[in-house]
Amino acid sequence: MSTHRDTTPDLGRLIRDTREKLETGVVPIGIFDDRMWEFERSRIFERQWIFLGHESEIPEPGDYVVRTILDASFIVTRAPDDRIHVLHNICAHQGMEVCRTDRGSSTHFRCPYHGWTYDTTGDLVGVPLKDQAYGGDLDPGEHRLARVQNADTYDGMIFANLDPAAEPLEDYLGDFTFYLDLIMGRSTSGMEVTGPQRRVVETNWKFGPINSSGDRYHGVMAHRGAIEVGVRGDPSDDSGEKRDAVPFIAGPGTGHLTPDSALDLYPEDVIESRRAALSEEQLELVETFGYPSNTTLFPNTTFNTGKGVSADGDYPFTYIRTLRPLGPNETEISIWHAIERDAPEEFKKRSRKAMQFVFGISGTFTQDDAEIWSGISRSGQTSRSRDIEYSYLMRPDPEPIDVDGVPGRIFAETLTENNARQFLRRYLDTLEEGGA
Amino acid sequence: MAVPDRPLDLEESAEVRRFYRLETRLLDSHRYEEWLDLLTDQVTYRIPVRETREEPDKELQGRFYHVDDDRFQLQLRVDRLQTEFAWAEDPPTRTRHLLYPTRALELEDGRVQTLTNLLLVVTRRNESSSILSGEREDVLRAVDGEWKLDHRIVRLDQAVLPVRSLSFFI
Repeated sequence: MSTHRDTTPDLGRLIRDTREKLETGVVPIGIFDDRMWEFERSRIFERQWIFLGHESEIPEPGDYVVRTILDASFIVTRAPDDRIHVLHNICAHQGMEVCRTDRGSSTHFRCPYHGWTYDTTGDLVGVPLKDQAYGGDLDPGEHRLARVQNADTYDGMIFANLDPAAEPLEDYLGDFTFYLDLIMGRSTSGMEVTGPQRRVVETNWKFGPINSSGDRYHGVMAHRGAIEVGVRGDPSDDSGEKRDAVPFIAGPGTGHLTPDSALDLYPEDVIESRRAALSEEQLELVETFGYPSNTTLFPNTTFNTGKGVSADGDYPFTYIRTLRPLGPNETEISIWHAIERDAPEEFKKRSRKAMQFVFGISGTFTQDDAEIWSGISRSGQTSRSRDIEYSYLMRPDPEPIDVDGVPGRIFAETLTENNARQFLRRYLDTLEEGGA
Repeated sequence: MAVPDRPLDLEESAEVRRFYRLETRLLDSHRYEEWLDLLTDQVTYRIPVRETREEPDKELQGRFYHVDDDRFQLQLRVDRLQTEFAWAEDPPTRTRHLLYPTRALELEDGRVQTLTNLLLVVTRRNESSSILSGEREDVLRAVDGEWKLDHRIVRLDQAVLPVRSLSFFI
């Protein structure tokens, strides 16, 4: 199966050692190299719920997008009855891809090889020369596009889990739904996304999620240039050291609640709809601590809210970003803009324009993150790196704040590496349990 | 009565060619402050995201951009590069813009529209080079007797970009 030099018992030892070290605040660089890769494939990306897209990308029956988990291609369709299906993009006859585009609208997918044709639910509805070729011996029910059984939506987001025995999506999200609603469930009209913008970066997929789990420390240096010139507005209110943002941990989610997340810059109607969409406990939480920013859903999806400047003024935005591993040191980064469906079209446009300026491939913040993630990754792939340990020492036990009626844990201090350690704890647990 | 678009005369052609020679030289030698002088105050600079579609004319209609900048944003990008903390361009990425003109027309309003095939070789530090290819559609406007860039759309061929950042200008 693989030319891997390590075997499972070694993995067990590496996990145990890493977990012990993690609790003392150091992380062996080895978990970012190729020893973990095979196990990350089978135990994380083939067994966890993976974000594929958003319902608003396929609004009409027949609409589809093609998305990928690891290196496997899936067609995400909306069937005539409005149900969403996630289908393996592999002809049941002899394996050709039945869809070779990124997006479109169609009543069927026809294989270019022998012409087997499937409808948007994956049912085989056409076989050329069926009677001459097969007589009565071909049962179409036995030859359909394989469907991912565990595909589901939450707040309009489409997720799939390739493990037939997976727990339901909502159980997986657990306490994190309370926080996720503040980002993607914050409008009675629903959210809509545009994108994705895609690029391939030489980095290990974990650096993005770790950074976005709650590294408030790096802004001081990594984003200093962008902050100094004011890409998010007046630099005097943007020192980079956000003492007042609070980290939280909830189920598979790690992030921050941020008072300056710019959610009050949306039009009045949009803000009004937010009050109707969220619960009293949720509204109280954002009143006290703000909305989530830079928040990661394990394993590889990040949500962020913020604002950017333009000639037209400051505009707020929300994005969803995934880091899809192509190998231990190669990752496709995709980013979608998200906004309330009932926001005015001109506002949506300006919000997207503000976002690309700060985040994404040309983003004045993201450029520096990408440079750093690829540099760290390069350091982790060398013959020397197995003996090296990284420091995740900062404030190991931040003070929890007790907030009534709010699931998960919220902490008092902004500057801590506890959230990064939490991401890694979950990572190690998942690798271990995935082998059970 | 509208004047139809027309080919450039010899003198205009020479001026437009001079514009691109200068612009290319400034971009590839990171002289961005001088490059900003070649843009009008109303400039729009866009690189739309491409998706592979059955219908080629829909591939760039996703309403989403890799870059969607106005003059103010372009100025801030250049300002950021002048700080000591623009890590993605420290040290600077080496770029080589190779252009091949495919159309130049004078529009009814006196501005000039050009189409240019573009091959951009990007080299970061000692890494392997990456190639971006595509078409630029520009509109140039004469301001005080000088041609300036009024609009640019860069239609890249790649749907998934092979570079970690667009930290340079195309």
